[in-house]
This record gives sequence, structure tokens and C-alpha cells, in this order.
Amino acid sequence: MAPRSDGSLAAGLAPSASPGRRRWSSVVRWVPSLAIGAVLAYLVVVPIALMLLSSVRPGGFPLDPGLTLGHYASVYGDPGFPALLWATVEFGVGSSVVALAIGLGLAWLIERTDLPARGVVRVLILLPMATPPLLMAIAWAMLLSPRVGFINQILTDAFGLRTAPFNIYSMLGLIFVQGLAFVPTAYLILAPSFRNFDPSFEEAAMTSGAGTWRLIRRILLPVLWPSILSAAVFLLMVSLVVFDVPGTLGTPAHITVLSTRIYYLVSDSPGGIPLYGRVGALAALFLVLLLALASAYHRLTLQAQRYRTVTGKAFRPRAMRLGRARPAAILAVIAYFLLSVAAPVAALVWMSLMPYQTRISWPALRLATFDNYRDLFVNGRVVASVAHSAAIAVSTATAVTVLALLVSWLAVRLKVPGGRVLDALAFAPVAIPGVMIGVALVYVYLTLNGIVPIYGTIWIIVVAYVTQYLPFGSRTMSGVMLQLHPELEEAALTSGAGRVRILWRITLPLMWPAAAAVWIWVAAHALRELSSALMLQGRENSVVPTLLWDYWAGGEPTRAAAVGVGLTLTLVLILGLWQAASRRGTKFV
Amino acid sequence: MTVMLRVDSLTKIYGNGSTEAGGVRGASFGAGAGEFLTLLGPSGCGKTTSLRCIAGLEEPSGGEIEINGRVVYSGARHIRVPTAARDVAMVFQSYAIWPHMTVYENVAFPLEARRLGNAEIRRRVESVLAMVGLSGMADRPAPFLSGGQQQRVALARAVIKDAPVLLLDEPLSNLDAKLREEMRAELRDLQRRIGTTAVYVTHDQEEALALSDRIVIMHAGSVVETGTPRQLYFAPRTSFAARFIGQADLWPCRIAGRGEDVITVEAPWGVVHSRCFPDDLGAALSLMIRPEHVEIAPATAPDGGASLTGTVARVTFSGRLAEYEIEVGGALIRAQGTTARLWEPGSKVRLRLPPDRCVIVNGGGEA
Repeated sequence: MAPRSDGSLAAGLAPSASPGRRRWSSVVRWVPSLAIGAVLAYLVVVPIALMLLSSVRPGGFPLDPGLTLGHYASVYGDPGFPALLWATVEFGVGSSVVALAIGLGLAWLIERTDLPARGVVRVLILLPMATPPLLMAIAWAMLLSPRVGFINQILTDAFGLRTAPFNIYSMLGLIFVQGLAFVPTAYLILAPSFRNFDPSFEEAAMTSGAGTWRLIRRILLPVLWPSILSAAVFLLMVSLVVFDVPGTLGTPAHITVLSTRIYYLVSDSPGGIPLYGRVGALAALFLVLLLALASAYHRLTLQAQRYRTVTGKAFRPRAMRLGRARPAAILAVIAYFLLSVAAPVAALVWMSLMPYQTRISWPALRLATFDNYRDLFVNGRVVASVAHSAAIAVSTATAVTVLALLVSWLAVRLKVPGGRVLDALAFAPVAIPGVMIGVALVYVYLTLNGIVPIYGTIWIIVVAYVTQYLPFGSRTMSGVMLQLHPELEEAALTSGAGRVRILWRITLPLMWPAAAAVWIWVAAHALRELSSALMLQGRENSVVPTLLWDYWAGGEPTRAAAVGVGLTLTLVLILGLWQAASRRGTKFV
Repeated sequence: MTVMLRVDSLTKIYGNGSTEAGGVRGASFGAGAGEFLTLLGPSGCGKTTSLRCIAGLEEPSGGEIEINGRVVYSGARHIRVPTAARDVAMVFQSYAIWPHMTVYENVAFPLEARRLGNAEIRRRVESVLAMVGLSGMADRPAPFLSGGQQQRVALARAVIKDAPVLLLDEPLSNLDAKLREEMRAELRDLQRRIGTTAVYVTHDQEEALALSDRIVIMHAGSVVETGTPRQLYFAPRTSFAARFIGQADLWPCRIAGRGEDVITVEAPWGVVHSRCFPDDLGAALSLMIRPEHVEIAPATAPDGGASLTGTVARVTFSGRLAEYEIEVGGALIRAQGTTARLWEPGSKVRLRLPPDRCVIVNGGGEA
């Protein structure tokens, strides 16, 4: 009989109670939920509420007097609004489709076929995560800009073309770069369901007389459908709001999407004063849209779990023989790595070694210098940004890990009253893009400046990042906590151990690898996140990505490249650690 | 025998409280010092829930639980002693061996929780490890243990606590058949040696019969019947117990006559005498006959009173034993015999049904 648990740890720990103490103890039971709930509400609900409030204030600030729908009228009545909406959707859908197509192909090749060196490919596939989208965009601009792009130059020279064959500053260019940047995410969502697909399903279909095509159409696709769909919705959710690529490549092409529009309303508004009211009004629509997508995503992942075919029985997935298609498959994988890693990194490295923007050629090699790198260590601005980034990454990662651990422990294990609300609150920011969190925190800390004076410091960025990465942290921790057999803690209870000892000796050591993995992942992402830092940028809190952005936007590509190479190396190192920690994380469960 | 465990009207309601939702409704049983008590029943009958309520891992909805003379739960008196303060130790179905600790650390944990000195802990862990046959394995990390070794560690960790009541939740169900029989014997030996009271949960009736001093049969959250293995096998009082323990044919029957200690009953296929029946005969009765208790004789053998004649309809041969279905008066009666004498289909035979083995039980023939 399956052990059933209705929060046995809570049952086993509750103190004995006389009628009077019983009422008191039910009050006590609410204390942890309320405490953590207040923290989460402060991080998630308050910013959004203040942002919405300011969208109906004539002055655009939450505490201003009066009510108006004027901001909504001016945003949605703007003749450019349909074009903005269309560009956002075109970019979002396009890049999601590109990422999904490549991700599906790679997941299938790596998990279900006899592609050579699959183990190596499986690790390398995560490599693009070390080149943040901002760097990808910068690198591809170096490669494919119509005037000075390396590839364009080489092709025009080789074939005597009059105009450059490629233009990265176009909608197709944006979709191409963003799509490539999303591939690892798509792969990570899709690969487990390919990997865990029980081969006996396929074998049963084959013994029922089904051919390959019927097998794919009737068995493979229907079973994998929920996870494909949930990957699609997730990518769409992110791609509708990303800033890095449209911010870098869209501006020269005069392509504005929602996130860049919000950024320009804040930073480059015509009157010089940020149009916060309009920003709030614009953000409101997308908040609704994203919440709808997020709930769809939530439902789809639940369904995907129902289809999960892990039986606990060890099986070797059936590897399909590629046969004569094998060389083509190998070439496709190589092409993917060329486009997503080799070419952009090569462009960055070349650029970083040049004293000024120089086309790739043998003679130019004589100009090579390490000055840009030397500059990284002596330039006060760079050093300060690196220090800020490091402090922010460490604080954010620690805060997210602790919060996520507490939320999952309370909600999953102790099943405290209101635990589901805690869980939902911790997951809600997944629907709030970085730009929006950035903007919303501006409202909060301009309003609260007298009480919490962190506006313009690195701590406001920490608050933003904690909110942004909490969904990942709490999802991961809850997943691991759910997989930990409750009997492991119950055995400690029946051994006579108290609450603190169980947490300290059993729960935490068992969660430790997962906590380390979350910490490292969050630290890496805090190092590369651009959009919310850009919204919250002041004079005192520049970070590496905003520095990169400033160098690039300010026409110093060689310096930007050197910073980018340094960032990539750091991220490769951290992601390697993450891989190692994740692998340990699954050891116990 | 002193009472070590008393469970009184234990109730645990899940969800909407329907029978399908599981739970326990008013179960009462007890165990004396040193007794090996088994809670036996099909899955969902409430046996594991009862055990978890005793351990304090679930909070009951009502009733009372007393361990070693101390009330640890009482719905009416609002008493709830937390798990850590109860005089119990428990072995879990999944073993729940902590993977981040060595064998030694796992077994030492209950003593560590009691804040004993290191020397004392070391001495006791070593002696308990020797008791379960794991001497020399102390420093092995838990993930490097076989199923049987994990089982021993789990047992050692429970035994070291020296609790007067040892709770075991299907501890053998994850082992393969051969190892299970070995561990069954070891478990029984160990329990006798340390003299603890054991409450054992299982759905395996053979395991229950082999291990227990007394068995509590549960069904749909209630106690159906309690008795020693022999009582439940030879003289069950309910049709559920009769069906659940061992093989049994149950026939609806009617009392045709009553003597001092013998009852004449009418089954669909004939009339037999029974000397085994419950005191509280209900309205719906069944006649239970176990196939292994039916004696088969040649049709030419003398009648001798308690016998019927029939024709062998089907034979299932399994080497050591042969199972028969014998047609008697339009019904098929199952019988079992050794293969010393084999009957072929179509043979005319005489069936002897000893009155001591014709058992009248309360309840209909339906499952």
C-alpha cells in the first residue's frame, strides 16, 4: 500500500495541546506562512500594484492625486500601436518557431538516434547559455551588419557583389539571433520527454504492425505533444518580452517591440521626463496576456507530467538508426554549433584583439593587441562594474536559494495553511518580464525612497533579480523536495529527533546539491541579465551587462568585445560547476 | 501479559470520507508485551494508516491510542504527543535509509537525537550491527548497500532505540522472494530475542501466518476479525476472513438441524455436519471448506456418514500436488491431494468432509 501523507511531518511535529493551547497552536501554524507570504507579496504583488496604480494617475506616479484613463488612451490610441503589436508578435512567434524547430531536431537526434558522440553533444548543447543574448546580438552584428559585417565583407569581396547579401538589422535578423539564443532552453524542456519515452510503447506499436510513419504520427507525437506544446508556450511567453536582442539589433532597423518601447519611454522620452503613466498602461495589457500564457503553461506542464512515462524500471531508450542520413545529421549539428557558438565567439575574440574595428584579414593580424584586455583591469568603470556584478550575483543567488528552500519546505513538506498560495506567489513572476520588473521597482523605490533608500544602488537590482529568478528557484526546489521520499524525514521523527535536528541533519543535507545547483544557476543568470539592470541603472550601480551595452551603444565595439569575452569565460566556468552540481543533485532522489 | 499497545475506536477520515478515500473508521485492537501483532488486509483497508497514527505521523480524526501505559493520542481529551516523544521505533516500507550518511551514522541517529555520549553510541551501534549481521559494514556509505542490507540497516536503526513498541510497515515487500523468506525468519528471531512488542503491517497472508502471534484482519477501515494464525485459518468467524486467509470455497447454506456441538447444514449440493461455528450465528451464513481438507476416496469406499459422491471434472497437476474440481449434485467442489494417488477426469470418487473442517461463517458467499 502506498504510504499516504497529509503533511505527516507537520502532524508528527505539532506539540501536544490542551483545548486552550490548541487554539493558540492553530494561530502559530499560520506564522511561517504569513511571514514568508509577506516577503513574497512585497517582492511580487507590491511592484505590480504600484505600476498599475500609476497607470491611472495623471502624473504617472502612484501617490499622485487624481484618476485618469488618459495614459491608456494615448498608448492604445497611438497610430503606431498596431505596428508595435504586430512587430512584437511577429518577433515572438518567429523566434519561438525557430528555437522549437532546432530544439526538437536536436532533442530527437541526441536522445533517440545513433548520432555519434551524443554524450559530448549533450553537454556542448548548453554552451550557448554562456553567451547571453546581448552578446549574441553584438557578435552577429559584427558578423552580418550590412556595412562592416565580417561575413558580408568576405562574401562581397569573394563574389564581387555590389550590396551586402545579409542584413542583421531586419526582422528576419532579429528572429534568427533570438531563435538561436533560445535553442538551449527549448532543448532542456524537450529532451527529458524524449529521453524518458518508454521504448515498450514503440515496441508495442511495432508488434501491432505499425510502420515508422504511423509510429511517429500515432504514438510518438501524441505522447510528446504536451511537452512540445508547453515548450512552445514557454518560449512565446519569454520571447514576447525579451529586451536584449531587439534592443541591440532592432533600433538601427527601426523595429520597435513592446520591451524596447517601454525602455525608450523611460530613458529617451521626448520631454526628458520618463513617461511612467504610459509605461504602466502599456505594461498592463501585456501583464494580462502573460498571465493567460502562464496559466496555459501551468496547465500544460501538469498534463505533461500525467503523460510522464518514467516507471522506475531501468530501460535503454531505443536508438533509431540514422543509416544514410547520418552524415547529414552530423553536418546539421556541426552547423548549429558553428552558428550558435563558434562564429559569434570568433567574431568577439577577433574584435577584442583589435585596436579599432577592423575587417578580418591576414595583414590585420599584425594589429593584434591585448590593450582591450589590459583595460579591463585598470579602467575604474570596468572594475567597479565587475565588483557590482559579483556582489549582486552572490546576494541574489543566496537570497533566491534561501527563499525557494523555505517556500518549498513550507508548501511541499510541512503543508502549512496557505502553502499553495505561497507556491503560486513564488511562481507568479515568471509572467513578469525583466523590463517590467525593472520599471515596477522604479515606482516602488521612488515612492518608498524615504523609508528604503535603495534607488540607484546595487540593492534595487538585487531585489529585481530575486523576483525574477524566484520562479526558477522555487520550481526546482519543490521538484526535488517532492522527489525526496517523505519517509526519509518520518524515519528521523520516529528516531526521536525534533524539528530543528531533522531540518539540519536530514532535510538540508539531502537538499544541499539541489540548493547548490540553484545557487550557481541564479548567480550565472544574475551576471548576464541586462534588461532590468538597464531600467534601474543609476550612476552608482553599473553592472557588466550594462557596461557592455554602453560600450556597444557608445560605438566602442572593441572594448565591448573584450568585456564580452571575459563574461563568456566566466559563465562557461560557472555553468560547468552547475552541471557538476546538478548531476550530484539527482544522486539522492 | 501487560498491555503494551491499546488502540481504541481509532478513526481517520480522508477527503470526503467515502470508503474509496481510504482511512480508518473505528478500529480497536491491542498488543501485549513481547507480542507479534500483524495488521493484515487488502490495500486501502486502513492498516498502514492505523500504523502511522500509532507512530504519530498522521493525526487521527478521533479515538484513543495508548502506548506503554501512556495515552499518546485522545480525540476526546485533546491529547497529542508528538512522534519524537512516543515510545515507538519504526521500519519503513521504503527503508528510508538516509543516503548522505554511512551505515554507522544512520544507525547512530536515534541515539544522537537522545544526546548520548560518543563512546556509548559507538558501543551500542556496534552491538546492534552485529545483531543484524552487518559487523564490518559500519563505514559503508548508504547508497552502496544491497536491498537486503538496507533492510538490515533500517531494522538496526529501529532496534537501537530500544523502544517497547516496534512498528513495521510492509518491511519485506521490496525484497525478492528468496530473501524475503530469509529475512522473515531473522525478523522473528530478532523480535523474540529483544522481547519488544511488534506491530507489523502486511497484505501478504502467508507472511502474516508465519510471523504473528496474533493477526488483526482489516477491511474498509474496520477490524473484521482478530485471532491467532491457527484460529483464523481453521475457525474463521467471518466470510471475509475465510476468503482472505488461505484458499476456501464458500457456499451459501441453511441450518437444517442443531445438536449439542454439531450443526447440520444444507449446502446447494448436499447436507453436511459442522462442528466448527461461531457463537453469534447471524442471518446470512456460509459454509467454508478448504480444498486441502477435502479427503478423496474411491467411490467403492464405505460411506462412513460424512461423505458425498461425485465425479472428477478437472485436474490441475503441479507435481507435488494435484488440484481437482469435483462435480457433486450440479456444483463444483474444489479439492486438493498429494500425487501419491492421482485421479483422472471422469473418475467416480467419494468425498469425506470432516465435521471439524466444515466451518460455518457469518456473511454471504459474495466477496
